[in-house]
Amino acid sequence: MSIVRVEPQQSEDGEEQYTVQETPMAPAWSPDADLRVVGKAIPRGEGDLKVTGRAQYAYDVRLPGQLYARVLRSPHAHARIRRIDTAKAAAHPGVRTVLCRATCPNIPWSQDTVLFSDIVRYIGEEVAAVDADSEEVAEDALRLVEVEYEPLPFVADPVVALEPGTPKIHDSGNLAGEPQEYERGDVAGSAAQADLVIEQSYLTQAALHNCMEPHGCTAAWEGDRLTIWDSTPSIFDVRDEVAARLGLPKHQVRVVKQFMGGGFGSKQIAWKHTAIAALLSKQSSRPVQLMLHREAENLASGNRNPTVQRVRLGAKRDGTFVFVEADLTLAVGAYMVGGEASDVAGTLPDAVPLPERQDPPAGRRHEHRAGRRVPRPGLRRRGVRARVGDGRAGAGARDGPARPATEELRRRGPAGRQAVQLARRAAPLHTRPSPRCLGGSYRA
Amino acid sequence: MHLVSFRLNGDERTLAVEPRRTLLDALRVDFGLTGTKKVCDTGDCGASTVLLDGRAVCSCLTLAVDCEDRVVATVEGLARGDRLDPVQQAFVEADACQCGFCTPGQIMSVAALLAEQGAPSEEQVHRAISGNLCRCGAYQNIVRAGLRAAELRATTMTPTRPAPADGATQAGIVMGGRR
Repeated sequence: MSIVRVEPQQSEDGEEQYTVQETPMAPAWSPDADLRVVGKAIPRGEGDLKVTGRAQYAYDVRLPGQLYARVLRSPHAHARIRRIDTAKAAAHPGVRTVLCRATCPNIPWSQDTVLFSDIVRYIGEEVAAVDADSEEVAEDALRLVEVEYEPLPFVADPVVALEPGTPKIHDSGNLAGEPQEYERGDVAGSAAQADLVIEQSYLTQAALHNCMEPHGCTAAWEGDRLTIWDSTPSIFDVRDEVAARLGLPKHQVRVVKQFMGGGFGSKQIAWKHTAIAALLSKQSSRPVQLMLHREAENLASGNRNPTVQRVRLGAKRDGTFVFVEADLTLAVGAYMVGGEASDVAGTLPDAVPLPERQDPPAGRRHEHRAGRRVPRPGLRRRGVRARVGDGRAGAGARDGPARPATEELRRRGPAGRQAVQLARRAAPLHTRPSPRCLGGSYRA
Repeated sequence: MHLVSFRLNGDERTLAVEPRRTLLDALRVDFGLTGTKKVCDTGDCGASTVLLDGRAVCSCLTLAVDCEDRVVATVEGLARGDRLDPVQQAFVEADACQCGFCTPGQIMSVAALLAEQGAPSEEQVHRAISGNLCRCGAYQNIVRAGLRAAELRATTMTPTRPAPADGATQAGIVMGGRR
């Protein structure tokens, strides 16, 4: 017997890799061993702080002279800002600083855009920001900002977004990065040998995190040094990104995490509001707290991206599973912010090579990420992958409207049953509730 | 600005506020009592729950100016020094918090229940916390904590107080004294 552990390691390009290590099993405890931990109730170390209200979260930071910020957001999925006038807002009593494209330095953001852009690409994109003596006054000031939008055409369906001639989200088009291809064996040839082929399309919906503590931070400068009390588990990622965006050396940026009211994978990066808090604080020479309210949180702090997945698989009557093919479209939003984008990238390599098989079936995966004008940017979901269990697109073949097809496969003997199993392993996706099976065609 | 005076965790406090300032913001910003949490700010989640005249209310839906001459209790007012209130002790024992952001609201909802019902049923605990969302999903332990809190009040709190003639009202007296 041995103990098997998975050790994470950092590769040269910064990606985490995992190696499996085996060590001999420790000898068993005797039944009357006096154990200090096993079988004992261990009280939560920070329990007292959390039940007394003394645990301090990002939202609870209170600094002398602290201001409160609010963000004006686009009501349009796609529009050009023709005119923006912040004079009345800036003159409102209690307002310290108003930031918009006219008053903010051009901070580079994703895909050749800037922090406050002339073009807004989703409902909720940041248009202007205000800091003031209170949240109420900041909200008053937002109502005084005059913005003239020129609405532009948009498409919200990721499949349509990739068709020729559809409105472009960026000058470079609607494809976010090169499609990822994986192929093994002869799929076309194998398909010709299959006695039964199942072809289905699956749709998974966007999922929002809605942590109890909203996204946000408090930023304060001491000379040229910036401190951010952020609701994030990833202080170094946030530090690096803020430093890069603001053109500061990393040692001048410090990110502090105290307690965090949930993150669920959505708080691992610097969002636009993080940089905005820092910029407001710089201009106002005061600490600035910028916490999103629930609506803003749902619009502009990420989601688990929706997907459209066409899956084909085939089996022979004699018990051989012959191929699996997946065509995946990920809707990553106007600004993809990295990460695995609800990692379906592993679909085939994870699913098809079965160690015990000498002759793995042929497989092919084609994956593309469509930018589209939707209310939310994409999001990396590093924490989620480990928790998805068998919530996979192929599981719909078992549970969804495709059940008759899988029953048919099962009736065809071992190969069919194996095909069903492989289908369930075919797409490691997060499908709770289960994906809707759309019977071969996708409509938004 | 309006002057408003109320009893807050046992002390008389007076505050000048705009009429639109919520009790929640008054507590968190003006008094610096950040134990009460701001989450939805629209009464959906219960994280801002405090006791107003002994009843659980969402402080985000209560205007500060409406609290004149009333009695407000927040999570900061429960413990005495390092000695936790039975509800707090029960939440620690039952491991009823994960991220902890909903915890103060949950605790105040349970405290309001126990002030009225010293030995609640599980269903009564369910009902008491039904307005408090927990995104981590600690509900099972929160319910356990609610039941455990009733036990702790019945046992550990009794020796510290003179025994009242009617045992059923004992818990309410303890809470009343604290406020």
